[in-house]
Amino acid sequence: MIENHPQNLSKLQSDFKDLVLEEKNKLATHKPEFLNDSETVDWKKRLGIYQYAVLERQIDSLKDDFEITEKVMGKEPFRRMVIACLKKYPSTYHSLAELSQNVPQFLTEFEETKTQPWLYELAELEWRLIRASLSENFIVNNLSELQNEENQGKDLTFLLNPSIDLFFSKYSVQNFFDDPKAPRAESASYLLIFEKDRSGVYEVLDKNEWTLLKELRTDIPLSKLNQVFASLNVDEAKLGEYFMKWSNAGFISAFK
Amino acid sequence: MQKGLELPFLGFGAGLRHEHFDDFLKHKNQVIQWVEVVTENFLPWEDEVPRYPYKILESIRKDFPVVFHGVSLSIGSVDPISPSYLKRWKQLISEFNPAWVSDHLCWTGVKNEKLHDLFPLPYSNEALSWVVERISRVQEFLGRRILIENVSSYVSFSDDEMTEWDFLAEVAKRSDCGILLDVNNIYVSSRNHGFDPLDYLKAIPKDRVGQIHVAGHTDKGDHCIDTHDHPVCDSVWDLYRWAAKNLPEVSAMIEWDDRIPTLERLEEEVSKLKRIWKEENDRKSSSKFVEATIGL
Ligand SMILES: [Fe+2]
Repeated sequence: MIENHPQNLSKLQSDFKDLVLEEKNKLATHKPEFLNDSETVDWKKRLGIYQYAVLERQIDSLKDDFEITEKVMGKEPFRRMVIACLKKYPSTYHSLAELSQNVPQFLTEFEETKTQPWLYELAELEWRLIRASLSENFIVNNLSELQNEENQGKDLTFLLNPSIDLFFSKYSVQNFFDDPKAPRAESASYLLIFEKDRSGVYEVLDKNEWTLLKELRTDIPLSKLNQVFASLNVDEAKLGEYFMKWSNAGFISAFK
Repeated sequence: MQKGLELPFLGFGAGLRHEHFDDFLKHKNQVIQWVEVVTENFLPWEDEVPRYPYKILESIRKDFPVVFHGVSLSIGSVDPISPSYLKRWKQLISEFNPAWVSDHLCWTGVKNEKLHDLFPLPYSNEALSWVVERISRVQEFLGRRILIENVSSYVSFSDDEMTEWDFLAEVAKRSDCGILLDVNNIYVSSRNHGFDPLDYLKAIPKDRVGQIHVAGHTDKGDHCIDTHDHPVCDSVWDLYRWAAKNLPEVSAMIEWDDRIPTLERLEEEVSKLKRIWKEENDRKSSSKFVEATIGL
């Protein structure tokens, strides 16, 4: 776009964007020159249609994705936070679905919420659930090939179902899903997130199982996983039990 | 077959919304002959991780022709077109082989900010050259023609040097793209800017129109808003009637995106498209074309 960059169009788009993002009560009294007049509808009203659509569409999308965070914070504080977030981190995404990823980080920066770390964790959990709900979830049923002779004695690497995510919460924020007024005290939880019937769901795991799945997620070969398991100082027979459970639940999608 | 663009006549369709995924998967739909999906809902994430609805689209396309309709190409923006977006779009096209693909004659953001709305362009010669060059480059990259849709608008600009319909016709001619003609958007804009919607329709080169959108809007008395949350109003049905008569080879569909009705209610609207098309074309001739294309 170096050659023939359209100067007038450039200025118009930049000015129009500023107008659309301007707060209504701060708009100038006089109509900007680049807008045509209309005999029937005032320019501020016509511009307001864009202002409303741009802001509310983004707020609605964030409200949908952070339903529990909104309940815990309250409607008005949540709206203030979201508006401030959009101002600090305007969307650079093609899809509205991606916009939500900015919210957890912003909660640690926003004056009204930065001293409430559980809000960051809760928003992060909600974002990861959204992401899981829209992720691929495929199961490759070739685990029976594990029995084949050619695979015996090989150092296998197991691949996890792509919708799987592992989340650690210092505040057990999953409790807010049942009760937005749940205690804000420190209490650790190890969560497994995955896709089920087009929703993101979570399951609370014990720390050992969670740690192993986390290692498995890094494409670690079985021999090294055994070492991790040994370091956890748990009965080795448990590993087979875990594998059986993971493969039955479709968490392991393949091996190589 | 649409002769100018050589696109197949798919009949009467609807926008596929997730509220109806299960209905489609369970084959409850009896009326809708093809579906349009929003490209962005099926693109991989920006970090290129695939998205789950892929599986649903794979099943649905076994039973219905699918077309892709984008909302964020931002063909009129002065920002560069994102290479990652184009790459992911092209990949999606190669995986699903849609009958055609489309986006809007608008811009959606500038200075790397995306505002997630469809803003009109000034209808100037400068904007015309800009858009024509960008469409040509996109088509070259995708290796296929795209359709460009007219948007509803609430403002117009003092830089305008021609009407919207002359601008659209010229864009299509110069860039060799097709037109997705939205008769509801024409109606909404005609109310907001005070022109005759038939002047618009008559000025569009017929051989360039590849698809028709019909939708509902909100009438605020002194202006209209393109909300896609209502049944189609009589004035818009009249415009579709004109299109059915004058563009009989062009596939048409209903867009209903908010306060989404049951599948049965959506099917009623799609049936009405079919009925009007049949009335106009039965009246016009008893040619075998009518029966062959509509499958009646
Ligand atoms: Fe449309």
